[in-house]
Amino acid sequence: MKSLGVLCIGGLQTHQENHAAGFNADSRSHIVAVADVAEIDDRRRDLNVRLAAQYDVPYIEGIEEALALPEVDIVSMCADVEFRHNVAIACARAGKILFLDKPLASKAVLAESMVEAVAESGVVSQMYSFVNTPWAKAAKECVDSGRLGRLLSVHADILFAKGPGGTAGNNGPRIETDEPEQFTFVESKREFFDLGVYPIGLCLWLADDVPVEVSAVTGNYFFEQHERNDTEDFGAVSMSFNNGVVATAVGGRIGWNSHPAGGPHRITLVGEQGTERFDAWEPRIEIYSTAEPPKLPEPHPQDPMGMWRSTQQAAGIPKKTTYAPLADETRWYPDDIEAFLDCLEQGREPVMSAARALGPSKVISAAYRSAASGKPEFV
Amino acid sequence: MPDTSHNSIYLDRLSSALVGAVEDGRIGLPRFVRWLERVDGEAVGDELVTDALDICNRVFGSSPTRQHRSGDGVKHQTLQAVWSNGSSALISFAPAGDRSAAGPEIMLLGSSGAMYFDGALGGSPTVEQVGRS
Repeated sequence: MKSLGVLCIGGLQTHQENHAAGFNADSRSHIVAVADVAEIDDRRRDLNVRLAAQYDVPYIEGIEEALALPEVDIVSMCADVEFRHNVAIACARAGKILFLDKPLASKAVLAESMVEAVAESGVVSQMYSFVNTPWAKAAKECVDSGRLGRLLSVHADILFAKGPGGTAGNNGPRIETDEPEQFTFVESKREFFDLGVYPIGLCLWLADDVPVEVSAVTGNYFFEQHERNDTEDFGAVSMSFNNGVVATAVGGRIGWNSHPAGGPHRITLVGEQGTERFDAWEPRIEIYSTAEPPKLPEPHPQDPMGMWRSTQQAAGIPKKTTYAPLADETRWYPDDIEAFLDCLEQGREPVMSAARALGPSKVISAAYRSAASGKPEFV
Repeated sequence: MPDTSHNSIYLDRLSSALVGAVEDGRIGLPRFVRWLERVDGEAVGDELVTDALDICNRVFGSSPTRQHRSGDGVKHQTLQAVWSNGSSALISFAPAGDRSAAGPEIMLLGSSGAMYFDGALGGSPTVEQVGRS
């Protein structure tokens, strides 16, 4: 396979940091340019220009101009959530292969229009997810093997233990909005939207279906920054499927000190024959000693939640030392890119195609309605 | 999980351990409980869910204002509960089967810390003695 040219939309302090590194590291792809929409602010422009400089490629403002570059085969799309669907539709209509950041769009109806555009153009697409992690693949193998008998329920937790927890001041319930409009802030983001998509995506993939009804709650449990921006730091959803399967997903951001590794990352499968769990941090060695434990340093002013690799490094956030899992956590991003390029090379449909990724977007939108109404809502 | 005759003592000890750690202020305000329990035997009865919910009520200091149940109520059951201050819980029961030991796994998230209880997964023989002494 010839090396495919990758156009990166979005720069530093987005997931593009990781996606670009993955494409750059694989011999089947290379970065050709960084681009973004014209409506961005100076801060975002500067971060985009810095990613372009990192890979020694041009920065182009304006999606049409960037898509006109003849050497662009793949678009790695990390535009801000508010612009995301329009950018993806333009890329699909230009016939570009799509590697999409998650979730697909700010709301299900916009994600649906994106998926329609992808289907009409016939381009291959993949949304970044955890389906290519070793523990998720082990869970899928368990379902496919039939060793638990008929699947009854799936429970998935993805919580990121990052950021200085314990700062939330309001101990009351969160008042949720049924259709959130703003997602992009420097100090925080909507964590149920941004991280909840991982466990919801895993549940739907493992159940191989989309639920009909959800009951959800969101909260401001841990961080003052999320309260200030009216963005939830936590969400939990219970999902009911037509065939009687039940799934629950918990997603959010907890304090750095609240977990001995990167946070709870776990899938539990329940079948008629029993229950099995798949944990990202198992098997592991646990280490306790007189060595000084790592401490969370002063937060980076542009990224107090420790969301991005570049700012984590700049702030000097140390690696936690209690858990030493045998699996290599640092492979999760490159493994997903590698699986995407494998699909392109072998002519296979990616597991988490845009079409499949629509399910989690529908659940998230219904979950916000449920969290706002305090009642179950149809998907 | 120990046999039925020792179950209530076991749950009392578990409840006291969780509530004690919360009262010590180790995790700040309790905000979320994830309770996943594998059960020996044929049926997942309502009383199991009630027992777990009672412990959550002790942790949160009141009863929930919102509840949503799902599952067939026989082989598996899940309860989502929300308390008046917005704290919440997901309580699920499922068959243990031959491949795993019976017992609860609990994740209790507080505003400034967390507790994790792996039940019998860390060593069934020891756990079975709880409630006998």
